[in-house]
Amino acid sequence: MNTPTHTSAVATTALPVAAAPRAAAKSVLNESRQIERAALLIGMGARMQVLESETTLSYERLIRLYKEIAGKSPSKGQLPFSTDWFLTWQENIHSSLFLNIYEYLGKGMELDSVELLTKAYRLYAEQIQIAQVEVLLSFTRAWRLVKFVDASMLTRTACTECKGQFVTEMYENRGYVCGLCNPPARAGKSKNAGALMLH
Amino acid sequence: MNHDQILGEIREANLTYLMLAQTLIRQDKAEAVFRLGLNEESADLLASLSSAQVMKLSSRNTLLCSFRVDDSLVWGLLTNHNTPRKVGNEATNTLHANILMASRVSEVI
Repeated sequence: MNTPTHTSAVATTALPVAAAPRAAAKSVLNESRQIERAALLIGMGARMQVLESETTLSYERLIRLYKEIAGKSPSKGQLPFSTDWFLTWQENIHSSLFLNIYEYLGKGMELDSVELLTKAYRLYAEQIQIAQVEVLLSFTRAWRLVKFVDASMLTRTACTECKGQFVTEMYENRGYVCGLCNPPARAGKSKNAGALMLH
Repeated sequence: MNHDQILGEIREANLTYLMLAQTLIRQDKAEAVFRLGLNEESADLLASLSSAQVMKLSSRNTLLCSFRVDDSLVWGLLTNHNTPRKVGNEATNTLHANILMASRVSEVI
């Protein structure tokens, strides 16, 4: 079993965030709120790392809750720790759409972090489905993207041609042009159903 | 369409818009802010209108909602017509338009 290595890997990423509120969270009311929050996140398809970061519940309780709601054990292993995924052509379009909706909602409304994330994600998925494209950005990836932006590892930059905001690295060139105004040579050639195409 | 018909149609459109907006806002205000392109303050105001107020507001000779696709690029992308340079397919253009429209944070501030 690889459980011990897994828990330690998770603990290093989740502890600084979760440890502080956990001490103060002895109230039953707060706990029920936390369970509700976790249940919502599990329903959206969040992985354990998201649950550990966004709720104050213990790892063991989260596992039990996960099994009860999802009917299976959560996927094991660490999340990919690279910003590259969000910067490749097709993925960048999905990421930019999500992040724009997220920022739009965040500016327009006072929402707590979990509400903001889930509502923005639902609206993103809805727009993708209406366009009849495959939902490429998973909920956990969307959460990851927000964390990368919070940590100043990624940001949004305005395209100099269409003026739209796109996910980029921190210090993008002044004359940044997005992947839709100037697609790279190999972009949009995927034969997969639900992939974005150019022709 | 004669003059009275035009006024009737405008009232009808206003009424439909206000009622839909109220339903959306009462169901989920954050989602409604995004769908309607209104700030929270306007959303609160709209949701608090009584039926009588909605009726009264609707009876005008102008529409209460305005067109959100106000630049030629977004318009081109949405209609899949006159798109810039490399032509995307319809889905790609729709997403491009969505990205541009969701970039307009000024709508909700």
